[in-house]
Order: sequence, then structure tokens, then C-alpha cells
Amino acid sequence: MLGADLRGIRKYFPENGVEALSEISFDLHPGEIHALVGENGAGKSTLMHILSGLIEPSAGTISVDGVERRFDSPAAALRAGIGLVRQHPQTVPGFALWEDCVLGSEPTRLGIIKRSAAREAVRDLSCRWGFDLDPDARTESLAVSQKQKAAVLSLLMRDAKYLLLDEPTAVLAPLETERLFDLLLNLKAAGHGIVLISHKLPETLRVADRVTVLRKGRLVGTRDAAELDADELRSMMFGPAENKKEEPPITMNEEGETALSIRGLTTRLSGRPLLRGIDLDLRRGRILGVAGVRESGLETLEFATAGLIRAESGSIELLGKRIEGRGAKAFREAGGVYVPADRMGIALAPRLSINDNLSVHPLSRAHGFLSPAELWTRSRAVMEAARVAGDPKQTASSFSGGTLQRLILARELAENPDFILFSEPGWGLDAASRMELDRRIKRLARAGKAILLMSTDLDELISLSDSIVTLRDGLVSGRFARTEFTDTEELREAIGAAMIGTEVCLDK
Amino acid sequence: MTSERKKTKSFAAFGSVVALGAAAVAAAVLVAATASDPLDALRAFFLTPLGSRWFLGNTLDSAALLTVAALGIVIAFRAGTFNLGGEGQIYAGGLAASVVLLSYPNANGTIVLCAAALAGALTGGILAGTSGLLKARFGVDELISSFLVSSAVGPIADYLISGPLRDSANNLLATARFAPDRLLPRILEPSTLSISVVFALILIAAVALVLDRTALGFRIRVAGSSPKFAAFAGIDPTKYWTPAFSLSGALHGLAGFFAVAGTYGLCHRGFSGGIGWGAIAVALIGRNSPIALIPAALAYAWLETGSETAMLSSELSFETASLVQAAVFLLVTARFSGWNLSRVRAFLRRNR
Repeated sequence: MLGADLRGIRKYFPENGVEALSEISFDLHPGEIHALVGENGAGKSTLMHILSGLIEPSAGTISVDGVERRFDSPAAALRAGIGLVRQHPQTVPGFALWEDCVLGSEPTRLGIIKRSAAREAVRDLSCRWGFDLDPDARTESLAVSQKQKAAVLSLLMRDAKYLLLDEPTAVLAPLETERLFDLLLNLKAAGHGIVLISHKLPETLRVADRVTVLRKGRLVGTRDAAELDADELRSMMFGPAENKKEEPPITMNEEGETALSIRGLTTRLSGRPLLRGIDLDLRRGRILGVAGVRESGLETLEFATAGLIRAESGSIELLGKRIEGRGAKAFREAGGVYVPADRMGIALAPRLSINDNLSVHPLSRAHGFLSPAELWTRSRAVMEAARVAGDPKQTASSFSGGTLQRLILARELAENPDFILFSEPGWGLDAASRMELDRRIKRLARAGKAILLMSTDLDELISLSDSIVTLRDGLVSGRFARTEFTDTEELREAIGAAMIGTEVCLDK
Repeated sequence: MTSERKKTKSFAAFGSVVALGAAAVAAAVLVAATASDPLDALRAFFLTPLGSRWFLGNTLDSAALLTVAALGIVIAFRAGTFNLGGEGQIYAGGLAASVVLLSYPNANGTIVLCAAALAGALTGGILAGTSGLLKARFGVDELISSFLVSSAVGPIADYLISGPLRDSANNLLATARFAPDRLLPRILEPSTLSISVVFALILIAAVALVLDRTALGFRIRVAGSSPKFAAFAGIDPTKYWTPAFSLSGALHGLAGFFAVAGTYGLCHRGFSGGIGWGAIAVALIGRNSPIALIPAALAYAWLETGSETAMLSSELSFETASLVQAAVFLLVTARFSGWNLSRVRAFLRRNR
């Protein structure tokens, strides 16, 4: 029988005593897109890590095309035709894209890499599938969507028949998502089997043939996508009782005094301008959304505001204090906190314990001896506020992404800030956590906090922000107030146009 | 479930013990294979270091010197830097201390000893501090710069000891002996063990307290383990490089002072040979925890003394003794390059 077949898979993690999967059966046919959905921590990633050889199951069998297999490494899974594409694929900095794609399976003659042959092979394959990738591009210059495509390409180079994509669309702009889906549909037509993990239910139902739902490490069921709608799927994921209704639209808060005022902010990276004179104002009680595609300056504005990079010129006044060029310490002392998109890289020390990670703000100010008991109590309180169970002694890296996001948020809010900088707060959160987060952000604004929200997710921005600015090429390309638009669809289109600009050709 | 979890933890803790055990076995094989009377050589290797006041005292003394220098490695490592210039810092520190100990003939011995300790610490601290400063200011790799500075210090100190500072009254390539009131009191005569071992213990306690129990130690740990996270929280990681590196050098210089004023009673050419490298091995065995340096240094010193006694008692060659140290180094560093339980398990399962 063709296809990949998982039977009775169990996975137990002795390090934290968690049973991540129990008795899961899952199959993938050639020529189908099989969506895998579930809340954070449902076990989707764990299941795909097992199928791709990253981790070994505690029990259960894996068979591929009728042969029972045991994978002790991703290389072994790849030999059986199975490959995983991570959300943020890793690339080798300094490599050209083609070098990265053939890494580990370079065509060689007498031990010497056949460079032109390898390069041509990558180019041919890229053209054949319409990947639209330049084989000579440096890997560090690739956008995350291109890195994902490059990862798919490198699996295809190794004749992978089954592709597992772990939440690829969570980090993609709507247009990029469409392109990725076109690509997946082409691959499916050519007989590849594809697993797609996603939190975005409507888009998932649109491209998937079958949908498997996991809940808390257990299998809820596998259904044909054609016979499901989003509501039904939602109730499979959360159970009927937890099927939450959308919040009513926000009411305008009272406008408070100015909290953040940015004037003429300009930054350069090795001569190239990243921001070219940005002006922004934000009052207390307001949520200001900032939208932009990659390279628009969104990330630079985020880092400059949080004090992580130094601007060349311009001023940032936060809650009455000038903070530009004075680092993250000045930003925090003025009353700001920051919830970055890059959780593992910036917001946490993965190798330190949860207790250390949660104690960082009080201890960055304190002097003299510590009181371990006091820190412990404090960390416990933050964990409780985040509704996270577990041992604070464990390292941060042993917790899942969604859990860490809740912990980071609770830690930052425990600082009792007046200004909150959010970047992609919804990344990696499931629908229920996302809804709760949205409510939380609105409540914070109502309580008089000023909130700057950076996001590439237009739905998130539109549903939360009082006003939205768009960035393009380091300039503010549009300013939108929610009140000016009665129709969100209209607003969405206007923002999209301002983000991308008219000079960009939308279809290929 | 809990038993499996415990197993994982204890295995991690025993990693160092396994590495040391393997080194001891490798040493035993080397000794037995090269000695004319293997049994006698083995006895000399493993038991003699513990068997007499002389050897026991020397082993403890050697462990004390290693510990002080290893504390320096730990401090630098916690701040996210690596001090590879320990040898030169010990040598220069010891030499500076010796110059002080040979001067001011009419001054009070205890005061001169304190001044010599200070001179040793300052010299080591300045040597290392330069590398820390270069890293913080210009991004110069501290691993390379500290090693290069240390390599340059060696020949200069060699020249000073065999030239201007040499005592022409005897045939050694060494300074004159220090006056009796300028030596650290010995504990276990006739061995070289002095009260430097007490200072070593005090230093361990102090460093452990600062690193693990103060806000400053916490910030150093955060800055060292994840510079980006530190910057996010408003802790400037570069701020800690120069102080941590200077402190690391100061401890090495202090180890040099303990060696000349406690162990040798004079400063001879190349006295620091091996202490700096041994300290790195000890810090690795002790997994960069100040308290764990005590057993790590004892075990390392035991193997080191063992190879010396075996060399003396059964015409074992000097090269064999060096091989033993190399084996310890190799096994300890091998453990640090990702040799862990899950891979061992996977290997066992494949071959079952």
C-alpha cells in the first residue's frame, strides 16, 4: 500500500513527564494535502517530528509505502522519502541558495563538487515547479517565505515524496500564502503527499483534501475536508463547549495624553537606509497598528523603539522621556515593555531555567544578594498568571512555543507598564489563545495603556487597532483610522495596497 | 517515569566522573604498557599520591593552585568569554609577586606577602583585562588575544628570570630564595602544602556566593548565556566582559603568587608550566560550577601526581606522564562536544 502510515503512536517525554501523544494513527496518501490541526500543545509538531525522524516514538509503528520503518535521524526518514519543512527553515549564512539546497547530497566527481551541475539542477527544478527562486541569492538575504520554498526545493532535490510543512503560513503575508498554496497544489497534482499544519482554518479547508484533528495529544478524528466547515472544525478542535463566539467590535476609548512620539526616525545599515524619517504618535488608551511586508522597515522600527538598535537621527519620546540611542534600559525605565516576535532569540535565554527567565526584570535592577525564595514565589505567580503548569527549574527550551509566549506576556505585564510594544503577538498561538490574547490587548488599552502593535497579519491588525500606519521602503506609506472605514474589507484592501505599492505586479 | 528522569539527571552529573574514570584507565594502560615492572608502576601511580604525607600534601597543594586558576576560568566563562591566556597570567603574576618578595628587605614579612599577592593579582588582571577591553571595544576575539599575549609573556619572563633577576649564587635558572618570613606557612611538612589551600577554599566560597547568589552574578550569567536576551532586558552584555576577564586574570595571577610564595619559595624559569592548561581541564570537569571545582581539582591533581610518582619510582618516561595529561584533556573535552545520553541510547538500540 502506498503512502505513509502511522499506527498507535505514543510519545512520552521523561524530561518533563509529559505524554505528548497517545495512540495516534495517521496516514498520508500520495497525491493529497492532509491538514493537521489542533490547539497549541495538541501534539501536531511532535507527530510530524516523529514521522520525519527528528524524535523517536515511545511506541507505535511507522510504515512507508508498505514497508515498516524505524527512523533514528531525519536522514533516515529522507531516505524513505519523507522530509520536514520547519516554520523558520535554517540556512547556512554566506551560502548561495543552490549551495544550501544541495548541502549534504552534493553531486561530486572524485570528491569534488560539480558546482555548475549542482547549480543547474537547482535552477531547473526551481523553474519546473515555478518556485521563482534565484539559485545565486545569498541565503541571509532570503525572506522567510523564500527560505520555506528553498527548504521544499532541497527536499525535492533529494527525491522526497512526502513533505511535512509545520505551520508555514503563520509567518507569511496573504499574498505569499497564496503562492505557497499554488505550489503545494502543483506538487499534489504530481503525486506528492503533503501534510500541512496550520492554525488558519478557512485557508486550510480550502486547500486540504483531508483534515486530522488532534486535541491534547489524542486523535479526535480524520475527515474529508469537503464535508467540513470552519465551525464544525473549530468544535472538533476545542470541543463543543469551548466553541467561542467572536467578541463584539471594540468601542473607542477615551484618548489620553501622548505616550509615544517618534519624529524623523532614520536608520542605516552599512549605508543602506532602513528607515527614512518616520513620524508616529500614540496616545494612552490607544492601539496603533503598524503593517508592512518584509524589508519595509517594520522590524527596524520595532528594534529602534525597544532600544535594541541605535538610530542615526530623529527622536523617540516615550512617556515624557527621550530614549533614542540610550538602549533597552532607558526604554524600560521610561515605562515600556516589549513582547518580541523572536521569542527564543530575544525574549528568552533558552538554556537558562524558567525561574531565571522570569526573574530577569527585577534582577536587572536589583543590587546585592538575591532572595531565592522570593524569586521563586514571584516566578510561580507569573506562571500562575500565564496559567502554565510545570517546574520553574526546567530550562525554557523544554516548553512549547505557545506556552513560552504566554509566559513572556505574563512576565512583561508583571512590570505594570504604561506602554507595550507587541510584535506578531499571535505567532504560534492557536485560535483560542489568540482570541484570548486579543481580548487581553483590548482590555489593556481600555485600562489606559498605550499599545504599539507590529504585525504582518492584517486580520489581527484590523481587529485590534484604533488606527493603522503602513510602512514601505522605510517610509510611512499610509495612515488609516478605523472610524473612516465602515467596511473592514475595504480597509483591508486599502492597507494592502499601501503596504505593497502600485509598482509591484501582483500576479505572475 | 521518575526513575527514568532521575537516570537522565544522574548520568549528566556523572559525565565528568565517567570522563575522569576513562582517563584513569587510559593512564593505567599507558603506565602498565611502558613500565618495566607494571604492577609496581601501577601501585606508584594510583596509591603513592595518597600514601605518604609528602605526596598527599603535594597533591593537595597542586589541587589548590589549580582551583584558584580554574575559578578564573569559571568567571570568564560565566560572562560568555574564554580565557586561554592562563599560563602567561600565572607566570607574570608569580614573577611580579617574586619581585615584591625580593624587595624591601627591612619591611614586615606579612605586609610584603600581602603586597606580593596584590602585585600578582594586578599583573594577571591587567594582562587579561587588555584582552577583555579589546573585545568590548573593537570586537577582538578574546580567545586569540589572551593566548597571544600569554605566549608573548613567556619568553619575556624567561629572560627576566635567567637574566636580571637571576641569583648568581646558585646554579638554578631562578631568583634567590625568599626570606623565611616571606613564605606562606607550610601545613603538612615536608610537603609543599601551604595555607594557600585555605585561601583557595575561601576564594571558592566567595566566587560561588557572588556568581550564584547576587544580582550581579545573575546578570553576568544572563549576559554570558544569551547576549541578545540580556540586551532585550536592558542588561548590556559587553559591560561585563572587561571586569570578568580582569578578575579571571587576577585569579590566575594570584595562583602564580601562591605557587612562588607557597609551593616553591622562589621563582624559577617556567614554574607555571601546565597549571594554566590544567585549570581549564579542571573547570571543564567541574562544569563551570565553583563548588564542583574542589573534587575536579583533587581528581586532576591526583592523576598528575600519580604520573610523576610513577615516573620517579619506575623509570617511566616523562613523555608517558605527558601522555596521561593529554588523555585526561582529550576525554574531558570529548564529553563537551555533544557526547550525550540520547546518542548513547540510540547507538545501543541500533546494536541490540
